[in-house]
Amino acid sequence: MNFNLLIKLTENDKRVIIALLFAIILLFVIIGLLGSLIVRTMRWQGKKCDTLVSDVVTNHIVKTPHQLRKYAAKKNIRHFLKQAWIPIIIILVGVATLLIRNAITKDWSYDLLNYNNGTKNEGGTGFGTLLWIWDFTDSDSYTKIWGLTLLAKWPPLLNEPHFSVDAIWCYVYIVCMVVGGTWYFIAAQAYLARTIRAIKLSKKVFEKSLDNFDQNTPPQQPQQPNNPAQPM
Amino acid sequence: MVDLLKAFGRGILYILCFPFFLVALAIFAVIGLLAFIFQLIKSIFYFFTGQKFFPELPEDKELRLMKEAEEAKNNPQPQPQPQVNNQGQGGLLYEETYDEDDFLEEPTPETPLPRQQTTIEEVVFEEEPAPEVAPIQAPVEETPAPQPQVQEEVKPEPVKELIPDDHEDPLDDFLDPFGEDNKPVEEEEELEVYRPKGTTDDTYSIDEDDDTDSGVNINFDDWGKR
Repeated sequence: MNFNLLIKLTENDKRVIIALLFAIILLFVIIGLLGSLIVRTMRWQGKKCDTLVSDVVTNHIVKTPHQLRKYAAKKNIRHFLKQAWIPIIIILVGVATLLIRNAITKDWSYDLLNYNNGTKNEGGTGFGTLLWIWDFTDSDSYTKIWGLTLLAKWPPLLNEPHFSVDAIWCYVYIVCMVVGGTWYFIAAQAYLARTIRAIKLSKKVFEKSLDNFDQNTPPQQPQQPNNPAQPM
Repeated sequence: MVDLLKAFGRGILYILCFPFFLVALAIFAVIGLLAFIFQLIKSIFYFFTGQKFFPELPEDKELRLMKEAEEAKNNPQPQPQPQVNNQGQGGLLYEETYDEDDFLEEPTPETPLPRQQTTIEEVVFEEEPAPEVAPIQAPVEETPAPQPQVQEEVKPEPVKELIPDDHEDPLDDFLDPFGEDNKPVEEEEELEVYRPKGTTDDTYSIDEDDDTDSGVNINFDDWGKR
């Protein structure tokens, strides 16, 4: 049996592989940094939970981990609602804009990404009028490497950004949805972070540790206040 | 280089955990949306029942009561007492608002005066308030409790000591109260006795001027005889 296990690589192939390896490492490093940024942001958002429940905990009104989790859940959802009502209203404004446009034009098959009216860089009723759009269906832009179909060049440009009055309804809708949606998901992330923090706090606050306890050490007597009648 | 490798390892970890994070985020987003709708319905109910948008939690209520109790313990505030000063120490009294019913209504001793009164000096010159004076109860006609009537001991007026009278006719004492017989012991000076001019005690008798029965008796019958 003769197995040809060795792959013969040309110098060019080795360079391509090394470049891909570095690109993958770089991609994971960037993802790791972004992930660390998100984790830090969530820790900072979770600190708000301490503010919400600290008074009740420090005054010993809440006495068990279950009570603390329950109280923190109520406070967290209330704080979330206070944070989320503005983005929800923004989203509702966007949806209302789109519905009004469809009701006026009686066009319920509205294409949000429409970018022209048949002529290049002219007209259009969708948000695509503000985007660069390439024709990725062009077969001449692809090539085959090791049996894989890969993009060989930039495909032909179908649309360049241009303003269209007919698409103004869609501009409002998309802007409201993007801003409101991002804002809402940030609020939801903060809600998640506070919930995680509450679970951690419920375990940590009522934790009793015997790490520094020694059974043979006599308990410390509480300090008596100085009696002025006694001679110094 | 080590940090770069750590970041690389975290990147792999986060890529593996990212779908779970997205699922958790989507769940919390949906929960939040449902809570928002539920709270919106509840808030409409609260609005029409006159309550707050977010009613106070039992723990928060307990905390508030505890803090209020501590504050009351640390800073005991004196009860506001109506200041009535009618002794001229604080000057005139100035009442901030006037309500006619307050004067028509007779205040009872148990209820304090309805409005806090301030002296005119406090209002105009921002002076310190006059020392507090114990509130004077409004005059109330109280029916006195029935008390056992004690008869006042009437002291007898000092009666002048008279010389014991020998004659028994009371008319003589009446006609001549300061006569020789009825003169008090202390009186030593002789009283003047009125009589017409030119007459003496021997020639004049008081009976001649007795006009008690018929008024003034004016006659000149005896004019030439005296």
